[in-house]
Amino acid sequence: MNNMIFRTGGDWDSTTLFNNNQEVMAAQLFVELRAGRDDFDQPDRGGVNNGGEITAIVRPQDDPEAELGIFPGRLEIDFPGHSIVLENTHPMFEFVFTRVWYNGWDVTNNIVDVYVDVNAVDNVVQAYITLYRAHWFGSDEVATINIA
Amino acid sequence: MKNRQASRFSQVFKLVVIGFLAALIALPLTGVDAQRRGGGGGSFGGSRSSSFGGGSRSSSSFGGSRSGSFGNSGSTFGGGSRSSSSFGGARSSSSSGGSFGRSGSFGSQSYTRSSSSYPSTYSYRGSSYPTRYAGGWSHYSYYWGSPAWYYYTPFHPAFYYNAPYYDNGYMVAGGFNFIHAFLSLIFFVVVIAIIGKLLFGRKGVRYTTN
Repeated sequence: MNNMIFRTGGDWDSTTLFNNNQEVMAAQLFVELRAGRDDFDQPDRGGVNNGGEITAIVRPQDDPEAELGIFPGRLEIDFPGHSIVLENTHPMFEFVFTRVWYNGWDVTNNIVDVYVDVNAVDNVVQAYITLYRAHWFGSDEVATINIA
Repeated sequence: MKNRQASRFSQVFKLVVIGFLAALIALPLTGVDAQRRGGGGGSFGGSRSSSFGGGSRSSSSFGGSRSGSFGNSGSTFGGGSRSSSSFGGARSSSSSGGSFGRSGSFGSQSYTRSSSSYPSTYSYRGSSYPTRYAGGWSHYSYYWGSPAWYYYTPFHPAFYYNAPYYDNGYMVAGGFNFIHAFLSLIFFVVVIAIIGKLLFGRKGVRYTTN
């Protein structure tokens, strides 16, 4: 089972990826999670319980065309000021067993999107997380937090 | 399947919350009714038993003066002495003093129904004082003589009145409590907003980006 830790200080020199305490030389880390949507594909409360899909791969530096799956396992993503942890230890990688933490908060039940694309080959770094925030009074909020 | 179960649970939860709020509203009213019924039962039979049969009918009427007239020596039955003080004379007079339906008799001091909505006395720090009604709904002020827990909630009318105050030997009903009225207004606005939120659900979604 993988236990991956991605860390970056904001530049390529400080960017590292470890798997089970072994450094991985990677060309790309790509994670995309979509959840918390209703029957019309609109954001809704419920998070992972509403069903969804997740893609999480690592492309090794020595073979960029290959896609190595991360789950089942745990992935910790640390950007300056932001921390995302995704975990799915189900042997068959069932989606509803996915759990998500953002900055230490369990957001499993109100996650809408997680998108992380760190591509060293194309020099692309993009990351954001979208949460569904239900409010007692006033409109509910779909908050997108840009990470990188 | 999971979504449907969650949705059903949400609906049941809403119904439970609404039912609980309705019970909160209904409970104090039930308590007041019970209290009034209890007060009526306590007066039954108190003075009634003392007035009924309290006169001298049984002791001095029947046979008292009759014994003197009946069977006197030398006189026949129904003679002159009988007409003046004989059978039934004293009996009728004594019977009228303590009989049914006359002065001081049965029913004069027993209460079966009262239209007054405020107490005649008010207990304050161990002493009992006569009350003076200030009109309107201020009689709820006297409820503070022995307050129940729900008097402190905005669901009970006593919440909106101050406690009575002493004035020249009387306990006068307290005035309207505007602070409590204002607080309860806020309370009910919040409760109605919560119920509205539960009943009518979401009011759209706004998207934000940080």
